[in-house]
Amino acid sequence: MTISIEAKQAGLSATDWSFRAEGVTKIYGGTLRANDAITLSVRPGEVYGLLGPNGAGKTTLVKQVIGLLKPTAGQIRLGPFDLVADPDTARQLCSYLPQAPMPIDSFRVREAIELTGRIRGGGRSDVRRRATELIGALDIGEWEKTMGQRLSGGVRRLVGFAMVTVWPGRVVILDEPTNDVDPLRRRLLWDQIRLLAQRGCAVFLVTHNVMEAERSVDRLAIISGGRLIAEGTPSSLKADDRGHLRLQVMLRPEAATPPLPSWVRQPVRVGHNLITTIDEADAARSISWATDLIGASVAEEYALGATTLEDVYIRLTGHTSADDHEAA
Amino acid sequence: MSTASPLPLSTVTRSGPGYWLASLGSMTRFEMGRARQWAALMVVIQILMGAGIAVMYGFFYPRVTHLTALYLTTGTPALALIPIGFVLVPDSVSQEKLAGTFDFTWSLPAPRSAQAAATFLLFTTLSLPGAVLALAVASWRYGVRLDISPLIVPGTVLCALMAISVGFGMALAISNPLLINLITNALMFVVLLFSPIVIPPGHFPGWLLTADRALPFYNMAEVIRAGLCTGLVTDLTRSYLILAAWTAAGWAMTAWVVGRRK
Amino acid sequence: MTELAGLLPPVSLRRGLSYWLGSYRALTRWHLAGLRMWLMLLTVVQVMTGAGFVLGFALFFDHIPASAALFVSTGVPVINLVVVGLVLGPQLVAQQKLQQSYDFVRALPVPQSAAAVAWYTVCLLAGLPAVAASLLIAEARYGIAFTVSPAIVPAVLLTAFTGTMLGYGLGHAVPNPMVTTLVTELMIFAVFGFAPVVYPPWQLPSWLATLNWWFPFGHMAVIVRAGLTSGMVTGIASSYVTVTAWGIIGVAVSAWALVRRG
Repeated sequence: MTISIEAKQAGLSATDWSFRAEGVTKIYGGTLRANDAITLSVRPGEVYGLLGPNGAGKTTLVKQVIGLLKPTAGQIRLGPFDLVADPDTARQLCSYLPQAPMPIDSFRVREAIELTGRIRGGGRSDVRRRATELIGALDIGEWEKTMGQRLSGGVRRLVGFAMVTVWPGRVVILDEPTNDVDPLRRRLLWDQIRLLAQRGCAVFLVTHNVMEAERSVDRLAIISGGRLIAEGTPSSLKADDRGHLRLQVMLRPEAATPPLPSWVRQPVRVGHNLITTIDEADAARSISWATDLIGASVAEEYALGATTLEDVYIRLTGHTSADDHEAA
Repeated sequence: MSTASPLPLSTVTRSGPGYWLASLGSMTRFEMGRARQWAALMVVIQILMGAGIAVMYGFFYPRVTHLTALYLTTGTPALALIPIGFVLVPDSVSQEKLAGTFDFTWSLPAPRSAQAAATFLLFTTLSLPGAVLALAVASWRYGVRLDISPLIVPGTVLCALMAISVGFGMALAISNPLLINLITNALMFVVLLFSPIVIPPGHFPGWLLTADRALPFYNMAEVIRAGLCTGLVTDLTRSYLILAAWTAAGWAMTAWVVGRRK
Repeated sequence: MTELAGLLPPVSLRRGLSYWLGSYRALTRWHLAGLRMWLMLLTVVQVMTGAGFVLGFALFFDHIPASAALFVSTGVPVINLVVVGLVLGPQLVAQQKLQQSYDFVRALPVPQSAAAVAWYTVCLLAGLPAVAASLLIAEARYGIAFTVSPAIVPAVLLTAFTGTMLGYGLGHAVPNPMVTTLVTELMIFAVFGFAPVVYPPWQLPSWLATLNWWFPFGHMAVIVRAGLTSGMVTGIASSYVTVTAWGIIGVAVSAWALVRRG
């Protein structure tokens, strides 16, 4: 955030390029509320995560930003521009990496990146330089001249990322950018995302991977059922859990949920797992309670550890991020 | 402790003609369920391609003589059956391979020959009404009186079976769906313009006619034409033999592809 | 820590002619590269529909009358110009929708008009060589001497324009890709056989001839024919009007489809 202050002080841009969504609502067919009065703002230089289960409305929201969908109600502004009223401007100012694979079957990797950069308005030598930079940074030089249809899913994703960020907009929307990408290159991808932010872009990161989000975003919003149900930095979202521990009990497949002791908070059953939080002070009696459950053949094992963002997520949405089971 | 009754595990291996026939029956029922989505499309394609093309070709002539009309009408059933075997069947195999349902069907416990037989029988049966309908439309349009003989039955059935067997075998042998698409499109085009299906063979240069005599399409038209009118078809036996050979080739290809394990 | 001034996102919006031209050039290159996969199918289709039709048409007749030869030779170029934009274009869009890659292209920062003109450019380029080839082959086979006049230029440009824009509108306006495919298949029929493109309109039943008067395909044949012969066609002016009108309809539908948001 000091970066944007420096930028202002340097007088590079007097305009406030903040992104603001106010009361964005999208209703389908009169009844389905894909987005329900979502309000959030993102500053330039911020990596902002949109977290939520599948079908929560994250992609719907970003599609309204880039002008592929029109909100039923609400406003979306970027700096002085109204993105809802002017979708052409929205496309110029925002870059969008969709969730689906990119249509680059008959393009070579470098070609696809450079062409997209030119389409976005970059000059020839600038785009070429930037493409070289990205290909090196993402370690995909091996496939530089390969045709799109020959690429694996992960490499295609990386190429898609490069296409979208070779000449980025003020807002860069990345919908599940790390899908299928191998762990090594995933790290490189995160580095590039952080660099984008440092250069002044506001980065929207749509993901259902809580662990990654926790490590890489500055702030995040949790969206579920079309509504924004929590917002803040990862630590502020976990603040309620300070002084707490996470207790996970793996129940036996046929076992019904056992009666819960009074000190157990916010229990959520996901499949065979019973996930709860407890005060640090109750650690000892939690362990003995869990051990009793095992002895009575109700549970198979238990785990006790520090709370994570995943717990906040589970508590708020009733889903885990790894799978999409419904909360019991 | 679970108190459910024990599951019947199959330990008996079935074999023999009874098993074969039973498999044929169950596979046919299975295929019928899936064919539902194709049934309507099939009839539409056949009418369009069969009658539609026959009618369309009529417009190419400044004057439609009786002979021209007769050739157009009697060639219509062949025109209706060719796209079923050579476009619809390969397309559906392609789609199933892409969707993954193909492997499931062929992993069912039934003899391979029964499964193939079920597919062939079903498609053949389903393609016949459309061919008849197309013929009806064409003969109404051109007002031609047809001299129908019993030969029409084996002729049409053999044509349908041949087209479907060859189409199926071809689709199995070529795994690339884009290539199949290219081949079926090219085939349709060659067939429609360069085969004497609705045109008297006399118009064709000798070399082209020789090639067409070896391919199944012209022979299909001849075999059906013989059942619809008299005096136009020569060398009928030869046509039947060639069609039988192509059918056998289709079966052989099918047997080879589904029999092998990669 | 990277230099902040190294690559700052755009501070101003691009507007005006240079934005339009830049987008047009970049997108034309994008489409040309993107069509690489289809190039083989495209060439095959163009050759088949061009040369194939010109040559194959003669087989319909014992001895093809000179007028029929002239009509088919001057009609086939229309098919060459129109098949890419009207048939292949919507299929490409349908495929993108099926593969869900449609969103990325729609989210690119280009003026929609530049995108349309870029696509038109590519379709025109894909059709012109085939037109030349068809005419040369017709000249060789039928010994026709074309009377080429400058009128051929607007005829070719307008025919390709209307065909492309109609296909563009069809591809983007129809949400269901299966429906798009079906309609394009039907249009092949319409253009090839049920419209007076490769044969004169008086060979059609009068009701069909009247129906075709409202559609662009017969008129496209008229204006192209007028640029290749002299004294053969009349009513050229009204044909230009009809083709232009349909081009405008295509543009309107495309504009509506691409500007709307869900």
